[in-house]
Amino acid sequence: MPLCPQITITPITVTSTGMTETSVTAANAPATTEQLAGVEDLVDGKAQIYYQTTAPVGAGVKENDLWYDTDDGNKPYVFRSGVWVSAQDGSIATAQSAANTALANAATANATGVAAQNTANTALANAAVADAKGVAAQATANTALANAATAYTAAIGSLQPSANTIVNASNQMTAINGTGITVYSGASATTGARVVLNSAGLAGFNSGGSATFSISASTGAAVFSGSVTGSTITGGTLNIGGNAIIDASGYLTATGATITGTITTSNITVTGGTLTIGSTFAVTAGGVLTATGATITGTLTSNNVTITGGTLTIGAKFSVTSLGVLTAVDGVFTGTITSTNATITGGSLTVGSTFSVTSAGVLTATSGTVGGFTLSASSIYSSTNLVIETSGQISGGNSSTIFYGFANIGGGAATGERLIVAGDSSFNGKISTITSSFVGQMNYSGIATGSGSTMVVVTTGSRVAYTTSSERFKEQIEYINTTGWLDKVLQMQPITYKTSEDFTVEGEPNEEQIGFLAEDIYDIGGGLDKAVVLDPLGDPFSLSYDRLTVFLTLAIKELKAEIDQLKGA
Amino acid sequence: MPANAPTVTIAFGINGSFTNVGPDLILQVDIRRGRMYQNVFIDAGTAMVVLNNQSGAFDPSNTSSTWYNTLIAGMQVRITANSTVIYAGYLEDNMVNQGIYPTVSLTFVDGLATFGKTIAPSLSASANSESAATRAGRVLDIAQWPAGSRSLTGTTTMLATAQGMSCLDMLEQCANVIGGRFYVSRTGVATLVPLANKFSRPTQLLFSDQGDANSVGYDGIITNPGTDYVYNEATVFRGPGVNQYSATYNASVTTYGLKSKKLDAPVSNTTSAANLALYAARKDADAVVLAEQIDFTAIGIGALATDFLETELNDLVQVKRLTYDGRNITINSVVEGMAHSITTDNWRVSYFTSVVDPYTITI
Repeated sequence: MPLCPQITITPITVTSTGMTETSVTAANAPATTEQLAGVEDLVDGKAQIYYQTTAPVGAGVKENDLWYDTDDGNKPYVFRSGVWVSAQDGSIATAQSAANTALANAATANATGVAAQNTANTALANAAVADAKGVAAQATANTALANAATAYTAAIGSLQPSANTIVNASNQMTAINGTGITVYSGASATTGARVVLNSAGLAGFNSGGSATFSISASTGAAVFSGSVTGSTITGGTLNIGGNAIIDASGYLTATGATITGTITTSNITVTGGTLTIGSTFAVTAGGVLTATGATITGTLTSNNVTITGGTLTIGAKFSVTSLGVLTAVDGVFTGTITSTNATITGGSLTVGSTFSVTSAGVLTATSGTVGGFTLSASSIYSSTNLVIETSGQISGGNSSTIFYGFANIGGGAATGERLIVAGDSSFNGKISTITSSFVGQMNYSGIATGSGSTMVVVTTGSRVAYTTSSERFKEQIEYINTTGWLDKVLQMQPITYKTSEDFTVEGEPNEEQIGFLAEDIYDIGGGLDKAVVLDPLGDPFSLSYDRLTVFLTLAIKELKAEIDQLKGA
Repeated sequence: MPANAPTVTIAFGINGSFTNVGPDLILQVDIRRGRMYQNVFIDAGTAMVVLNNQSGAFDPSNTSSTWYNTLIAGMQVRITANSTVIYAGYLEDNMVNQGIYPTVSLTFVDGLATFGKTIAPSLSASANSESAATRAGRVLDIAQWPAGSRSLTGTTTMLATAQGMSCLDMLEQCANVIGGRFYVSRTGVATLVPLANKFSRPTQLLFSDQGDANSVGYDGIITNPGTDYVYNEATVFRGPGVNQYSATYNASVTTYGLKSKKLDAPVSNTTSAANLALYAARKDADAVVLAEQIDFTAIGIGALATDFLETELNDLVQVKRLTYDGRNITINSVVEGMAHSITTDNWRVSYFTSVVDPYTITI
């Protein structure tokens, strides 16, 4: 609410009282009421009028006399009650003020009038322009009307340039004649691009006049040289260039066809023939899946997969041939491998980094445990007994079959640190012992008679308790009657020596010995070489000193004979 | 801007949002709204803004200016004082002064100019008997005036027009048929008010030459005995081919002679037309002294600043004057128009007013 007092306006409803509701003639000029200030008639014959610069004085001056002060703009005074009272007419100032106001109003009105005149002039000019534009518009409209009439006539003329012919907006002609209805845009209704409709059917021709399609009215046979676009074909057979045929039963026969894009279906059945995808993948009706260089991505899931012939290759490291050959290069098996009968031929089966079995049956373990036995690179440790079955045997190289501690073969008494062999046993190769006791009889298949013979090696200081010489051990027995043995015996060169350190036992004395070199005896030959024992390589190995007595005996006999001859006996 | 006057702000509307112009750049603002005299067509509200253009920012050809491509015809302007909008309009002209002291003079007009320039088509018969408010809305649609900037009231039904005229003429018809007024408010709202609205307008300011409380001292006044504005006969021109209605107030004719006026009012109801003629013939039939123009300054207006700034066309003001012969007279007036002349050191205001009449009738 504004701060100043609010003006209250009491509405007065206008009624027809005192009013005329029809047009009335204006009354005469309005009665203008001008209230002019009354002018007192001061001239009555008794009053005196003075024109001077000073106020009149003296006895002649009487009541109501007038004095115009000539040096004050003739300002009037009237003499009242003995004094000069100003008689200036106030209405002059009022009139002057009103005149000034009227002058100002007149100036304002004049300015308004000038503005209004200018506005009117502008409006008049605009009206003139508008009128001119209207006239021009009328002329334009008349011209347009005339043009329209001309265009209409031309249009009618162009619409039907000749009898039986109609032309449309695209300048296509339609001829209706004995041929039927022909729509064409060329020079003739019988040449160039056109469509002909008659009782024979509907036919289309290209600009060269060649038929592009036809529909027979009598048979409905349709021939199209262009593309046919549609959504549903019902009944009959759709033959596309002889290469793709779809019959009403939905059978699609395609020869050399190519399908591009994506085929989406929930159930595809291929009956007969072969479904070929690209040049690398094919499925025959017989279920033969052939893939050359194909790649399967994602997960392949099957309850029962049988691959006949060929090889299933997974990546570059794993393959299974139809013959069951499983090849893995740097492959890794995780989880459990279960088999009732697994044979590995060739190569090695390696379990971790410590256990492997070669195709030759070589089991290698650098560590790990088999049963209760701990494996290392060259030994088996066990806190229990190593049991060799009665039907088995233990084989090894020169120094690999060494039992430390107690070994009981055949269930002998387990006492002390020793090897107890119970029952009849055979040892092939060499038995090396340090201090052993052989209880019972030991049979040797031969003595040191040459290359390949079995032998018993007795090192220096060792003994063999028994040498068999009984006739019952011999056959094809002959006595030696030959000569020349003395010369050979004389070639024998006795020596002294010490046992090489390689063949001594630590802690045992190695004193100077006497004897022969087996090689010297072997080189004499002539039979003496039979006292030399050869190793498996055929080199002299040992010398049977006991057999040298045979040759010494023969030499002594020759020497006796010479002595007897010299004696003349 | 004057130190003791309300603070003036000018904002340009760019893409729907307003950006203030630097206050130090404002050299002069002249605003005119409404009309100088009653019973004439209301003029388009104009505003001329003179800005310091030493930076060249307001030169439309200055491509480096932030205002480049925005100071074009139709750009919105909003002039506020103490956050009260006193003018809203659109850019019509831009004059760049490249003199020693570069300035730019921007001329803005309000919606009435748009309505005056837009020619409305003849209305079809379907527009018959529609209310004045509906008709006004239809015309504003033709002028593409935004729906959110309208306040239209008027139930008197109207005939369809048969001739093409400007939208402003048709809006005047809407105001005539309801005995009311049409104007664009200081905030840019197209407003149609009925006859009864004149009894609810606030008295915004009291002008006094005697120092009354809550009054504004005026330093210029132009009064009129009122005889220039006497009309005692009115003809309601409803349009071609239908009956016209006239009324004459005889007592006034006897005193002042016949003063006739024609009211372009296509009222569809004949009773309403007759009543409208009675009202028009009576309301100006008496010569009443009025203050045609009141001049004052807004400097130091103090607590009355809000009332001053919110004064709208058709609001009331009161003038108290001690006459030369010593009589106290009071003149109740209706604000028909106003003019603001704001410079860096002064804010001059002129109100153009008409006499308050108490007459009413059912239309």
